[in-house]
Amino acid sequence: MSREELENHLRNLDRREFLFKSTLALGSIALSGMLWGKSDQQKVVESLANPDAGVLPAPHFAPKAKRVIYLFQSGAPSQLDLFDYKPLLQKMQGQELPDSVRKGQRLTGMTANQKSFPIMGTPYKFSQHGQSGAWISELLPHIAQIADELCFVKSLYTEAINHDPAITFFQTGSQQAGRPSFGSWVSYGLGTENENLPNFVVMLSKGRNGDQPVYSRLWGNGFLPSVHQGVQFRSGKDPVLYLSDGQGIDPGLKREMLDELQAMNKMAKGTYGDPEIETRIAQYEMAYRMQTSVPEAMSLDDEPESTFELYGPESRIPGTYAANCIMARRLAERDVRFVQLYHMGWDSHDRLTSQLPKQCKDVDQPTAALITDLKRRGLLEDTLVIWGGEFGRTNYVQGDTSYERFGRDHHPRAFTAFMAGGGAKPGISYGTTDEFGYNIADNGVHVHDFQATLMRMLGIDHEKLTYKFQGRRYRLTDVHGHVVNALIA
Amino acid sequence: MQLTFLAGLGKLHPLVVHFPIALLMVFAIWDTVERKKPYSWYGLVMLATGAVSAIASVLFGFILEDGGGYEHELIEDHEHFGMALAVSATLFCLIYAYRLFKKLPKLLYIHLPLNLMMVTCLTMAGHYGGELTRGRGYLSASDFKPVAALPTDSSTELPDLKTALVYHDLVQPILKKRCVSCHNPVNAKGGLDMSSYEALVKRGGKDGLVVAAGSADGSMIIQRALLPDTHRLRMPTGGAQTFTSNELALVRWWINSGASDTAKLANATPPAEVKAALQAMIPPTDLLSPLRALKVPVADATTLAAIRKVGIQVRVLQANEAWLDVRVPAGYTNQQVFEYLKPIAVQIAVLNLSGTKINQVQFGQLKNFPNLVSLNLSKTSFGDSDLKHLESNMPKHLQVLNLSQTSVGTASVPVLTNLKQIQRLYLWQTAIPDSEQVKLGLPQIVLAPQVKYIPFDSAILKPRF
Repeated sequence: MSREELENHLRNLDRREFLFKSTLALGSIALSGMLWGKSDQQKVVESLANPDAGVLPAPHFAPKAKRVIYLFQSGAPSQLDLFDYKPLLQKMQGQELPDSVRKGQRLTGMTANQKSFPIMGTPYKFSQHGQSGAWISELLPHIAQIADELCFVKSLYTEAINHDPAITFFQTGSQQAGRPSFGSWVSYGLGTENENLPNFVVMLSKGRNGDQPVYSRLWGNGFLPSVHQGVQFRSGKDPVLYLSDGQGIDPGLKREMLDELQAMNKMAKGTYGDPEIETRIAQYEMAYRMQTSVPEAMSLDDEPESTFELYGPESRIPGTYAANCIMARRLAERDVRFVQLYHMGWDSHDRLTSQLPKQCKDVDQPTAALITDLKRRGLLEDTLVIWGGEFGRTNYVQGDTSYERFGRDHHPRAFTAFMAGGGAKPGISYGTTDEFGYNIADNGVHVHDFQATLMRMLGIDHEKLTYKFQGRRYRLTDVHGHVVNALIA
Repeated sequence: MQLTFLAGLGKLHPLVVHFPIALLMVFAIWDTVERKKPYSWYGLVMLATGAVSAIASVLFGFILEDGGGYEHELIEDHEHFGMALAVSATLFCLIYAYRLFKKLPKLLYIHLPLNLMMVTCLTMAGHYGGELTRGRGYLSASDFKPVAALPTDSSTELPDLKTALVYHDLVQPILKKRCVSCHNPVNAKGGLDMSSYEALVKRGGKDGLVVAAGSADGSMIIQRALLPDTHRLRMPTGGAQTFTSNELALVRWWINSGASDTAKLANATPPAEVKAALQAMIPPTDLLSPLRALKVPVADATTLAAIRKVGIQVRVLQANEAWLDVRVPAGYTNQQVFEYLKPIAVQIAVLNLSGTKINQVQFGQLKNFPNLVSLNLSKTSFGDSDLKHLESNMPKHLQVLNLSQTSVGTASVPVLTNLKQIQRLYLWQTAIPDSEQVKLGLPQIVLAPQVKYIPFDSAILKPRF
């Protein structure tokens, strides 16, 4: 053990740890524990010193996916109008939802005062697509054409009934905010593949309906070192604010300034040993590299015309879902580990029939294009694409029953998401709901199970990627979650 | 247990079990209330009959369990508490009897713990017993079955689909999982044995034949499985998990196709939902599986550090394995790259050179990497001549080869056709046009998916009712 390592250890050994460890055993054993055992903090400091590495020396399993593109559909897309075909609802149109089906499911504040729950079948035509016979409605004609690439999960369920807790649940594994997001965990565990770009990039796009907002804590790092937080790339001239130099600043001057800052920060680190200082140094250097790498990645000047044709007419407009999808593909090409797109506007509590088709139009072609684009470049081999929301929508009407005005309320008990690529078994539909589309009939997949399975596709054992905080070890799936092997290719 | 006549005795368990429940509960209460009084004969009689009937319950319980059909974990918990009850009651009884006969004073301090123990064991055993007969969560839940108790597909049992027989390799394992614990030669409930083709299809049970070849909807096996949960005749009974929709699809298809025991899967044309069901049951594959049998030394840490220092990313693919994953960053111009990688050439399983600026001459060195499973050469200067040179030294286990956006052209077609070990070959935007790729008809070529543009029809917004 070198002197520097010893100093490092001693500096990171705060009073609480010292007392704790010295009570554990006889003096010599306690001493060896202090010298050889590594705390989570210690591991983090070391991993930051080698910015490529994650805290895991290697994945627990041979990874099937190295990158994730999570297309989060915020607001909850209506699975009964898109993927889960239930002809019984059309037959029972207008009839009251039987209590034997509802079984006392709690209602949101919006429908709590509703006296009746008339069933509303889907007005849209469903048909089977591809060799796999996947059921997709006429609202998603482009996604229907790539049905054989997709892995549908129709039996997702959650306990959360409102947006904030539900999205937080999907992103962090807990309905209460404060924990690290999925992308942060992946970044923490596996490290970066491209040191010139952030490991976790987030892009937002607006939808057709008074959007449920998303919050930056959804891509926050919680208690993990802040180097793992998601970086939001804005549409428009400056994807990352304050990244470019001000007018008249000499780049050489900028570099000198950064070098001086780094020297001072290193002195502070020598005194205090705070891992956040290491983060600060790393972030300054990352920002410097991003000054060149981000404009290059975000500029669509080198994209041929065929790309814009593939992704649709909206893809030229920055800030749209289609443009963000092109960006996601470019970032995947540049080995960014976790790209998350949030597309808002799915929350159709009323006027579903005027919003949903247009919402689908915005999303349908670009999603199919993204998967197609990744596939032909060979990127779909090891990139996992996920498409889904935070819960489903009810099979009964919220509000007015007229065609123009009916809406569907939140439904946590069964909903659908799909995956494609790295590790997701293509051409299957896993899990079924009952004929009312209300309860799960078999193969239920809880949010934690979903997260555990996604981790497994990345090669991580979800029970073994932990971080000790406030006295206990946390992980993305908290103390739950079973890997669903049937979903893994 | 091979003695089938004793098997019926198991049915006495639900009867006998009520004796210890009543007697020991009453004894515990009475003994606590009357604790100041000396030992009494009435107490002994209650305790003794309670203990004896508890032992009998345990024995009958074992016989009943043998008949099968009970959830393993639940029955274990039930057994442990039941046996603990029998043991503590017997122990208490012996101490009580001994001290009563010897006219010794009461040992007050053992009464409370023993009584408490008996009551606890009794309550817990009783509760689990209730759950065994009524299903988990019986006490707390409304009719709503917790999702975790719903049936799930298993994904580890699928045999080789190319040689599989429909009945023996696909249907029989399903029946084994869901039915045979109650319908087997030893304990054939309803006179029906489902463990063999003969018994299932030819013999049937006391209500007749259960499989009507050619008609799944007319077969009792399907009809009973589809009855509502609360129906008396619904199979399986006792709240046990029924078929998943995938399993049901498979069994129905088998019956509809004639319920044969010789039909092969390879000769059949299953409908879409059966294909999907089979697909869902395939267990996860392993990219490194061809390499697992090989032994390579673990790469030296200093070598890896030196390689990382020159800007190449090296990772261990899987913990405790020697296999490495190398990513040479896009735009890499240092032509010595293969020299740097030589010391770890044997350990590299995945090599990603996409977007690098390596000169064509260097690619000849790719022959030094014998254990590659995945090679990505997209967006490099790799060309036909390089492929030709590499042909004789192609890694034996190479499964994925990405040549998209390179200058590889039709001259390489013969070489590519011969690469039988490759499972996925990417040729997008090479000099081989898409039409050529389709014509080649090689299953390993991953063709660029064709998604036809469908313009948005605003007629979809018009009211439909």
